[in-house]
Amino acid sequence: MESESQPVVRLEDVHKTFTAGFLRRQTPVLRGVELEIGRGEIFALLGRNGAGKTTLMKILLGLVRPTRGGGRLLGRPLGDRRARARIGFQPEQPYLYPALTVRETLDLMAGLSRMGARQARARVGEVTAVCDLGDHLGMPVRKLSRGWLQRLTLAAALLPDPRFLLLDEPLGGLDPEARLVTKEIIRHLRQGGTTVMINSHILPDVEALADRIALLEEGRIIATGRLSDLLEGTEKRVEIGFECPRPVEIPDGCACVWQWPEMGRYVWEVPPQVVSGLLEDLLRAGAIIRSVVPRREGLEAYFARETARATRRAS
Amino acid sequence: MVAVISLARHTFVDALRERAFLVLGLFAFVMLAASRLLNPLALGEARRVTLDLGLGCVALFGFLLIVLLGTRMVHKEIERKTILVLLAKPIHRAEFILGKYLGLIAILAVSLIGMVVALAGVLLLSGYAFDTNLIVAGYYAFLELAVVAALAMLLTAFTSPVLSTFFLLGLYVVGHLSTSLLDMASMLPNPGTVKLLTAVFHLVPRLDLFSYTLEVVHGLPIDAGQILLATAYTATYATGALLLALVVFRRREFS
Repeated sequence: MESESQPVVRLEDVHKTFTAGFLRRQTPVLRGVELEIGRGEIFALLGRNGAGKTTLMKILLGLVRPTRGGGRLLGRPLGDRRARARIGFQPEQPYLYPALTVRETLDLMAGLSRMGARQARARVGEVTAVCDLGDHLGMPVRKLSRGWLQRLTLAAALLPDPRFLLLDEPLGGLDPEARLVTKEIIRHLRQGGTTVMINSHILPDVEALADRIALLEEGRIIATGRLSDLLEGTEKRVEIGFECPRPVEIPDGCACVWQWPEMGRYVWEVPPQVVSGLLEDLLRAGAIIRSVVPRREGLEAYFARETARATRRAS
Repeated sequence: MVAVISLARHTFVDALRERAFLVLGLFAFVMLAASRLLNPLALGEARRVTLDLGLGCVALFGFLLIVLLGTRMVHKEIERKTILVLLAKPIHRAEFILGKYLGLIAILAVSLIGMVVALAGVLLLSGYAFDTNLIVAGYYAFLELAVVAALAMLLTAFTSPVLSTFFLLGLYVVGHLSTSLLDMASMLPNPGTVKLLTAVFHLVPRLDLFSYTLEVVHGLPIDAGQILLATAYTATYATGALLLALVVFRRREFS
């Protein structure tokens, strides 16, 4: 059974190899994945297309069985029906029935979550309010725009009041306002103790939301940890903004973010070790320092660097 | 049971809104109405011709409905990837198969009721009295379609819609000729072939059990024992086919 101290997800040495075709050609997709996700975490699973993210999600949902290894979800074996009762899943694409209305879709999902009529009515009311779907309940799914479809799939995922929420590209196709609302919903769920696993390619959003990430590359987890810890070790740069009445040459190893020499304004990005020397030189040259801001490597740069490194190692 | 009912209801509603279903339904009603137009050519056998044609039309429409909806039942879910959302819910795969089957059965039942009522209307308009045998004929047609629908569920659990249709058509034809198959086996000299044909006879559905046109046409008395036997056969055969469908379906992965 699930307990407070246990991780919500624990995967041990999970392998998955797909066999296809007449010649039974084998394609390994996951190779020894080890993963733990704690209660109330927002965890992001990152990786390039074909890295194995979707397969890993399907294993967690019990749609695919591991070839080797296993794990537990909400204290139960993978694929267990009682665990699935507390999982919400929002797929990347809105896999819905075009002929059904929004209400019929939510009623179906409530029924599949084994809710009685009264409970289903109450929950449908709650999630439609959260996802602002109230005015669209009678509309056929085929008439909804991409953004509204996304809201509907999120509402369907929230129906069972999940303890573990799996979101595949939850912010794709949403307008800026809907993205903000969705991020707020995710943060609110975390506060309530729900564990959220996000699979997304929109890295700035992941950076804004996730507590921890795992980087999946060719079926292996090549990096995992708290976002702040992972980015802590990355090379830092410092952004210096200044005004100088005389033209100044940019030193080696520094980069220009922007400059307007005619107005005497400059913003440079420089390595941390040259900051103090450069500031002294600039002050001697009569410059007025406007800002000195440390810049940490972003998740996008980290992702590109780590995946490229893994590719180099593999080749 | 909540999950099964939800799935069945949704399958029913989804099928009702399929354009092909509406076109096929319209076609069936036009065919039923057209049987009345043949009355002047029937030379005093107008009632028989209307009943023959009408019940034939009911059977054909039902079968086409199964081909149209039943043989795509699981495949369509896989193709649209809605299966990922459905099976991620806390349902057993048996509930999925049963829910889909009951939804299909519900749409068949509603269609049959509509067509039998239409056929009775055509008969009344032609000046013939209502015959309770017509209800029994409708029930028999329903039992037959329930067996065929279960076979469609079995086939759709592991093959494409095209192959399912092909196999289902074959089983439908052989099922209607199953008694002839046994008669043919009894006349063959080779005991191996006899055993093979007898085995096939026991495996294919006995669809000839559900033929009730003669009784309706000639107004023969209703045999309750025969109805019970046909009902029991349907329940047994459909359960067997659905269990087999489950065995196949529960091993499937959706990558």
